Order: sequence, then structure tokens, then C-alpha cells
Amino acid sequence: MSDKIFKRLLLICTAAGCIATVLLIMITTILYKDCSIISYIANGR
Amino acid sequence: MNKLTKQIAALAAVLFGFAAFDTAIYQLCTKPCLPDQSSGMQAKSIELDRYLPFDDASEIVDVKSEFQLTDDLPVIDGAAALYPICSAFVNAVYPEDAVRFDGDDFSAESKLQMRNTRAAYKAVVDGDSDIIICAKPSEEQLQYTADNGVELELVPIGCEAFVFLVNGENPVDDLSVEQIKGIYSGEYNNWSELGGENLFINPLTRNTGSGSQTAMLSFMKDTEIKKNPLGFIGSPIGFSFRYYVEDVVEHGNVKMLSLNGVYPDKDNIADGSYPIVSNFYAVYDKSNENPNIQPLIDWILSDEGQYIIEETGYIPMPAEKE
Repeated sequence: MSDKIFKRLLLICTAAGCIATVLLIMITTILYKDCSIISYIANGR
Repeated sequence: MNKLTKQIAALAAVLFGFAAFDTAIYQLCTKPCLPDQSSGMQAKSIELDRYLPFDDASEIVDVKSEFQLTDDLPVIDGAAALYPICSAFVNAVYPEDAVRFDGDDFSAESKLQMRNTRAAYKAVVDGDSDIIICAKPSEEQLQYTADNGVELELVPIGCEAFVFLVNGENPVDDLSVEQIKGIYSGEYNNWSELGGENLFINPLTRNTGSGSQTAMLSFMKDTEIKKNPLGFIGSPIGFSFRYYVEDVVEHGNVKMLSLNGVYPDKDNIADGSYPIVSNFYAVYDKSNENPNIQPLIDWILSDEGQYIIEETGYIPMPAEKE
């Protein structure tokens, strides 16, 4: 694999990872706002 | 190791790193926020349907009183946890056409509403509701009342235990009142300090103005509530009124804590041994000229009204303790 292709793949993987993380944080924030105390306790530890 | 292997290993390491990081976020933060699918929680989400008045399938206490109101019907409103009582009152003394339910909510002309505590206090001050059945008002609600030149009358009509909840797998079953205050003031940050596992304590609170948050502030008195910054990776503790969580405790992964060695069951609440019991009130604007407000409250305090409160699952007066 040439360095150019490798760097491109590395960039794509990093970008995809960052996007997934940001989406997960956004979903978590939305869920947290609507979450009841009781649900939170039941799903927790 | 040749170049290609190193490149593939590097890509795999990046993907694995993100996957591990996202899994940790999901387990610690996202998963606890997912809606609880237990039957207890499901029951709470369809409350209006379950407790409609004048409905054969309703789960309210079905009493038909000789005392009947036919005109100048006060609009009744209140806290979600007390909605089954409001509905049973209407069912007992109002004509059937007084209630309009469109399948999702009560329509504007309905004499029974269910706006929940915060909106109910606003509605009684604004004149949209005549009597609300709620816990004590918060400081903000009292301020809104004063700002609008309204004076509220609070008539105690029953009482209920204020309970603390933890996950069903938490080994702690009993705490003292001082330990609870210590948790919420930041004195205790780890369950191991209270006989539990070595996990951070996550003390949960509710929105300002909700009935249980007002009760919590009253319980803490002048002690400031502090959040544990690392609590989100630990095990939570929360609070509510007993009736509201009874189904959940029965069917879900949540348990009520004993306080000072006393479990919050009906007997311990009624005999005064459970230490935190609050009244709930019929609240109305003192200047409201609806002639049926006082007769209706007198009926609520009669044996028939108190029977409804008791059979619904609350503690009737005069077993009050504030």
C-alpha cells in the first residue's frame, strides 16, 4: 500500500470515528434531557 | 513486520480505539438514559388512559357520591402522581359531560386537566384551573404567585412518604437521614463509605419547580446540594414520592431505601415511624369566586373523599406529618 493511500485511509478512519463519537454524544445528550430519574436508576448500576 | 502489516495494524488500532471509546461512552452515559421498558415504567407512560373518569376499564377508585355538582364546576388539575385521585374525585361528583378527552390529552373545556405540578401552579395563579392537587409550592412558584398579586389557600388533604431510590442491584438497603443529607451535600462520594460497593455515588436531582424537587430542597433545608463530578460513572440515587414509584419498585430494577431502619410501606407511614412524610394539598386562589370550591374541598375531607385517597394508595388525613 502506498503512503498516499495509507494516509487517506487513516484520515477516513479517523473522521468516521470522530463523527460516530460526536453523534453518540448528541444522542446521549438528547436522551439525558428526556430521561426520568427512575429510568436512569433502573438502567444504571 | 513488513510495511503493509504495519499499515494495517495502524488502521486497526485507530478503529479499535474509537470503538472502545464509543463503547465506554455508551455503557457509562447513553445506556442509563434509555427508556426503561419494564412494565412499571410502561404503566406510568399511559397514565391518562389508565385512570380516566367515567370509563368502565379505568383503574380509579370508583365511588358515586350523593354529593353532586352540576354547574359552576371547578377545574381540577394537579401533579401527575396525584392524577388518579383527581380523576376519582371528578368521577364521584361531576357529571359525565364535564370531562373531554381527545385520546391524548384533555381538551381546553374539560373540567379535569393534568398539567403536572409546575404548570398546575401557573394555571391556578393565571385562573385556568380552580383547584390543584399538589405538593407544596416551590420558592419560584410562590414568587410567581406574589408577582401576580394572588394569595393561595393550601388545604392538606392527605400525605405521602418521600422516598429514596437506588438500583435493584445496589447492596445498600438502609441509610440514615444524615447519610442521605451527606450524599447530597458532597460529604459521601463513594458507596463503599456507606457499606456498598466501591463505586462513585451519583446523586440525581429533578427540575426546579417539580413537586419532588421542592420536597427535596425542603428536606435539605439550608444545606446546599452538590453534584459529584465523577458521579456519572458510578451508581445513582434519586428520590420521589412513594405512590409514584410503587409499580416500578414492584416490576423494575429499582428499590426504595429504608430510612433509619424503617421501610416506607403504608403501615410505617401511617403510624409516623417513617421519618419523611409530606402532606399534599388542595390549592386554590383565595379570591376565586367559584361557589363550589369550598363545598368540593369539604367533600374531599369527608369520609368519602378520604376513602378515595386511601383506596388509591395514599395516606388520608389526619395521619399528617410535615
